[in-house]
Amino acid sequence: MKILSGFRDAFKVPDLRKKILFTFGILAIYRVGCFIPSPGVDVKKVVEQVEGQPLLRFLNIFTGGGLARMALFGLGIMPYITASIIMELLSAVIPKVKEWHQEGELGRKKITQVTRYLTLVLAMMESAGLIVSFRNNPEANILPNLTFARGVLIVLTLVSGMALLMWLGELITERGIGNGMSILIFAGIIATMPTEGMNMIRAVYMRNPALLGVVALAAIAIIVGVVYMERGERRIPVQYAKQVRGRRLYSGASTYIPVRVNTAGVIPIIFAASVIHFPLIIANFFPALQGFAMRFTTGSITYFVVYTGLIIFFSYFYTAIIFDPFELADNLKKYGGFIPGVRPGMPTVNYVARVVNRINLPGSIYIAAIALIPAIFFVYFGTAEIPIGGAAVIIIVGVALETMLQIEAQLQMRHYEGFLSR
Amino acid sequence: MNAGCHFLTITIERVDYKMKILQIIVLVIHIFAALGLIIAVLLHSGRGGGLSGAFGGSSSSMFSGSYVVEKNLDRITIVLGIVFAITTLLLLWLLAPK
Repeated sequence: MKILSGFRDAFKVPDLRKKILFTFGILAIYRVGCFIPSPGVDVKKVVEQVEGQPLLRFLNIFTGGGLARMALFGLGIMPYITASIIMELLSAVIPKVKEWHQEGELGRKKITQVTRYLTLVLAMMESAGLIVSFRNNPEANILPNLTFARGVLIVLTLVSGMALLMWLGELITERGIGNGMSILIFAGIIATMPTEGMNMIRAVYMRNPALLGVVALAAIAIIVGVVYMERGERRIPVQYAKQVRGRRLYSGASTYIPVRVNTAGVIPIIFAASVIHFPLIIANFFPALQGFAMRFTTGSITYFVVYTGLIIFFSYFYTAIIFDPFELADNLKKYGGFIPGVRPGMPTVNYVARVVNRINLPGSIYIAAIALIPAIFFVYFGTAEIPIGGAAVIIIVGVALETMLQIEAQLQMRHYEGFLSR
Repeated sequence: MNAGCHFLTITIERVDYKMKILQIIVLVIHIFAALGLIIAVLLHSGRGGGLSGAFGGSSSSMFSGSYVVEKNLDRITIVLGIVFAITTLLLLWLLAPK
């Protein structure tokens, strides 16, 4: 009941109500755009083609079924995510980008701007790649009377659809609730849920009807587990010194620095997934590599080993990028805080770095385990691949939690109680 | 009979001809709308905040007032978006495989 009253309160605040309705309005536009196919595409045949290819099915889930129709928003928001990941990675390599990172507000603006250009370049490459791979498969006849001009037309349509979608995402971030890009992915996954869920239920049912109960229990267990792990954090205690400012005495407060178990979030999974599918994409262009690429399809031993390794690696890598112990120690010193029992300066840096590194091990193993669940399903049931689970669950839970916390903060600002009892 | 048939072919040719013109006009509008849309979106100062906020990082929503320029750009983007969607639908019908 607590949750229901939370929702009622959220709609009572006019400002918040406006934001929530705005977000829903944008999402409605997004869904409509997922159903308008680009010109010159035979929709039914694309659907068949996408259903047949594991990589495309995986992408299709993240685009809310838009890819299966080559729709205006068919590329989804994935190129933007890829572009941001590339920019994050570049900051470790190119000194100029690293400089931007440290420049604060202004630097962030520059990075965002470059990310947006890069997004459209990636979108162009992806749509061109799609068309080429469809053309290499003439018996499917997806693009009837394809000429070069028509190909360009489709690319242009998809790219400018992508630009529009990017703008919609930014609008949500700016005037709605939550982070626009993650909300858009979230909505896409939710939208494909009924079809994919039915596919999964059918696959399990064909095998053994009694298994359905087991699968349902497993699904609930996974969701509870993900919520538990996502909310988990280590609290490093911090003590602030007493200080006098003007005529007021600020007594030393004791707070904590939260270090999340899964600092990197779902990004390692997304990135590892795109890296591991890379051989398959290449093989689309060069049929000679088909044999090599087949080793990396879901279910093979190489796939399991490489995928797990990649996820753990990217988990550490991304945490190192977004969590900077030096900066943290510096800030603590500036505001007169310290970690009890640890000297300021280098010892603090070392202490924080050690805590983060240690807590990251279970964190990375946890996301690797969650990500591998669909693959294990695949091997066990030996039927069609079941792409739901793994990345999708983490994204859904993560985005839902974060958006709820944001509404919660807005409610508390206006003296309502919010969703969570404490 | 013969005359009727002749009459019929002429009408079909006429319709075809008109369709061709319509197709070209819609195509041109579509291309301009698409390019305009890309440019308009790129002119916006991005507020996406990159990945740092996505998927459960600490997201700090920054408030910066919306300027007049930005507001006009919003309007242009919306109009272009609507035109783009309509021409896409029209093209879907015009370029459909016969």
